[in-house]
Amino acid sequence: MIDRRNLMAGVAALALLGSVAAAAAEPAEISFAASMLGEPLRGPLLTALVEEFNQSQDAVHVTPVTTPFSSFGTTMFTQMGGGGGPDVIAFDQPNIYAAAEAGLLVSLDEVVDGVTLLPGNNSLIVDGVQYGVALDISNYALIYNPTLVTKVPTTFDELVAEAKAQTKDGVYGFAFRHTQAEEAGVWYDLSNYVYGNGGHWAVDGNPTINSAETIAGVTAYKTLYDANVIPKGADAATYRRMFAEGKIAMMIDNGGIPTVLKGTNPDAAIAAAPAPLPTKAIGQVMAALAINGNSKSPDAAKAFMKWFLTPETQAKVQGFLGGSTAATPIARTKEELEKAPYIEVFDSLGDVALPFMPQGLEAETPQVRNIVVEAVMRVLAGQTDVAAAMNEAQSQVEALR
Amino acid sequence: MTRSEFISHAALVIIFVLAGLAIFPFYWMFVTATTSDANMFAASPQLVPSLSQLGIFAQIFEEGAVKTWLANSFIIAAGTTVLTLALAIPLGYAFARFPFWGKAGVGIGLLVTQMLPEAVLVVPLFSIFSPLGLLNSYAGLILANTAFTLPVITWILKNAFDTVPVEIEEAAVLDGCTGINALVRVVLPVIMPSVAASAVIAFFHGWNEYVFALTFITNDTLKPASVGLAGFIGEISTPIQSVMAVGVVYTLPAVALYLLMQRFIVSGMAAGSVKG
Repeated sequence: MIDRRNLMAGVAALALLGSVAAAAAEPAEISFAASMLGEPLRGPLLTALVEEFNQSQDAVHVTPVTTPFSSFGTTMFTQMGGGGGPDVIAFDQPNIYAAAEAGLLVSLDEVVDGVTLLPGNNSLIVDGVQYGVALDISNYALIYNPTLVTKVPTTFDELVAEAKAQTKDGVYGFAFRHTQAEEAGVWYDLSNYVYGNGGHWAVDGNPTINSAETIAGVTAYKTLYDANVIPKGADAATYRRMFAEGKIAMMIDNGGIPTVLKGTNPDAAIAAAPAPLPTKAIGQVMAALAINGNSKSPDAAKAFMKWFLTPETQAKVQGFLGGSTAATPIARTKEELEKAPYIEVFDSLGDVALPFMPQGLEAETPQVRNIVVEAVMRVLAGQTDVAAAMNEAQSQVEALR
Repeated sequence: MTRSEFISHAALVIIFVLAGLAIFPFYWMFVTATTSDANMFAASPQLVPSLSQLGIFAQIFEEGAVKTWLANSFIIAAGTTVLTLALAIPLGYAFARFPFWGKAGVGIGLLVTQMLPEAVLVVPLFSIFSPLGLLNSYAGLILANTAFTLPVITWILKNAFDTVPVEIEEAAVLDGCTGINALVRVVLPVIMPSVAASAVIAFFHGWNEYVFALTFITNDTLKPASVGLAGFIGEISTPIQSVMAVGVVYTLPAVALYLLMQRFIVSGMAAGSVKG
């Protein structure tokens, strides 16, 4: 005979089993934030990929989170600092260092175990731990409009001369970021000239901001600014669109840009060549996926990351990245190269491309960037000369250490 | 022309110039929204709207997100307005009418909170809101916005209450009103212009607020227009016409509200700022 106590115990056990079963049936909910998700062209493709993951299994459900690009880094750090934030985050490369040093990220060593990654991913190893894997890796090169530019410049002097010749009738010969409002963009563009002139921002943790090579790079940047060949005041989004409309002849930009330009104007004439600078060295920009240390479901986040690194998914990712590459080596298809021959130029620069971080001072990139860009802004405004500004920046960066 | 006529004409010219300066950004947004791709970067800028491009306004509503953003903005702004007034009216009244220990300190303390920028408070508020389940909710944003509007609105209303002679309330009480009835039926109607001005200030704050909304809301269906609009500006491309079209639409409700209430606002500010 079942007494009341046994009956209650049975009901409780059934209720517990039911709740466990229900919990097992419910997928783990995680969120994924990337500024790329909000882009008009690549955003829907990345969102579709996330949805494909959701459809492929029942254990994990990923919700894409769009955050405006201009506030992405600060918003993520604010949320993480408050104990929250998305589970998987596509950070800019330097932010991986800042977040890892603050203990805000989960190790991905288990995720990348057995996965062949492109060498660029090595820059996401902090203190021997893999804290990020690339969402996209983009090398920089000279992007030009072949209907306007018939003789591709191969030296810096030729670049300046061609830019001057092209600047007429509402067309500008060149474009780059040059305002404090686009500090990160100025840092990228400026670094290309520094690297191309054999310079670095730091070597083994020692700032080299006032080295002869670095000063030569900043001088080259200023030479183009003073040549009146760029649409002064136009931000990157604007001048890239101008390029798509045939109003810009040349720019040094990254491999992801041609796809965006084609998306803006399918008829845009685009070709690429190595940047015409004294050395082959050039910049490389990267967005990297990381797992938030505040994640309530780190295993679910790892499962998503593992799926993201499978060859099938990586091939799809690389398919919409254009001249950028995914995290793992994926061979370009014949059709892809025929459709966009400029991709080969960007791919060929993988061995000489350098991240936009001062070597050995990676975690301090935002501070170094701010000091250098403010100094360069004073140079552009004619308030000081390049050497004096770089000497001052060198002192300020040394004071950070 | 007499001297007074000259001054009158000069004042008119200055008013037109100032009005032009105020209206021009809005006009330029409208012109840019209706500029075709081909003309966007033409050597000579387009100075008048192109009526053939008005379809952009229909396009931005086709996606659905813009309607959701605007509705969310309205809910947040209206909620901020209601909560702010509900708290500021009794608070302002207490400051104006009742003596209590530490009154001056509390009043100054309220104003001191205005010195803290949102960016300083966003992390601690995030930490507090998270366990309370106030992230990804209208309630969280309304509370955070109210914390910022309440001090200034309290002071505006306190000054307005100061202008109402206490004898009016005493007469109402003698006629049988309770204290609360006297406040609601006698005093509030007298300071209604200040209440209207306060409502507009609170609504504008809730409508325009960005930092809290950006940080506290990750659910796309709850995002207000301030955050949605910022999302158009991308790293590598920005649909300029769409940004301007949404900008025009985003500005309209706030402008309409201000036009509707401007008579009250001016008189309300004056009533609240002059004592005696």
